[in-house]
Amino acid sequence: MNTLKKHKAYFFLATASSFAYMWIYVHYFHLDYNVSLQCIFKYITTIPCPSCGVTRSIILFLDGRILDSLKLNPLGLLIFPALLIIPSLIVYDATTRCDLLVRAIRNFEIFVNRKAIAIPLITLVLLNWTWNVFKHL
Amino acid sequence: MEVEKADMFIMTNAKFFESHHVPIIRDRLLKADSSKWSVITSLQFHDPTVSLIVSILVGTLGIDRFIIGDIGLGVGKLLTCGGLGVWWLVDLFLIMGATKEKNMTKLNQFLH
Repeated sequence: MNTLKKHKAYFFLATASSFAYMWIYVHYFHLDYNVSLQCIFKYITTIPCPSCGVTRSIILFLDGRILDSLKLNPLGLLIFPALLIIPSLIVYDATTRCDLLVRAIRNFEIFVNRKAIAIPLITLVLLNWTWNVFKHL
Repeated sequence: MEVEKADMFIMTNAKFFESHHVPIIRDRLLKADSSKWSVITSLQFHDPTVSLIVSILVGTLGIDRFIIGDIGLGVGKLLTCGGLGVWWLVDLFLIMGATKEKNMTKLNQFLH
């Protein structure tokens, strides 16, 4: 990956993380748990998408209701650590002039691209999606 | 490689690449060894139009990015509902170019 692409990747991840934090902040202080956020997939198909309920799941986790958070959407507990790790790595890379985050993402892509890993992950996402549909998220 | 072969490749596969890449590909094909011809013709490229259709239909699930091999971006898109619809919308304009870039990267691996 050349320097320009790396800078683009860092800019994209920094923007996405900031937006995610703002999104969680706004909904943590101003949203009732029962309010369902309409995603574009749900709006068009009326079926919840695999990540519907992630915001609510993170909010429940922040309130200490871990079991409820898991029941709502387990992906929330996967995204929350990522939201802690990604900005930390951006700051670390910016201060030490390393490319730890880019290398971590590249290794993750190589790891996930293997059939033995990809098939179980796809199955899990599909199962979680089916659960989301039955829960009427 | 012969001029006829290079031109035939360009005529058949030009739609898979950015227009500014086509003259570069032709030059590299002409400089390449003839033994590479069978490998290069057997390469399967991703169709940018198919990527666009996939992006419109299931772009919110990141399938378009998975198809072209951007696993990281695909996972990101899948876990964020297509970036709350914004990323999905932006990708409708970017996906064809991204597919063509991926095709160029794939061809470059065999031309070097």
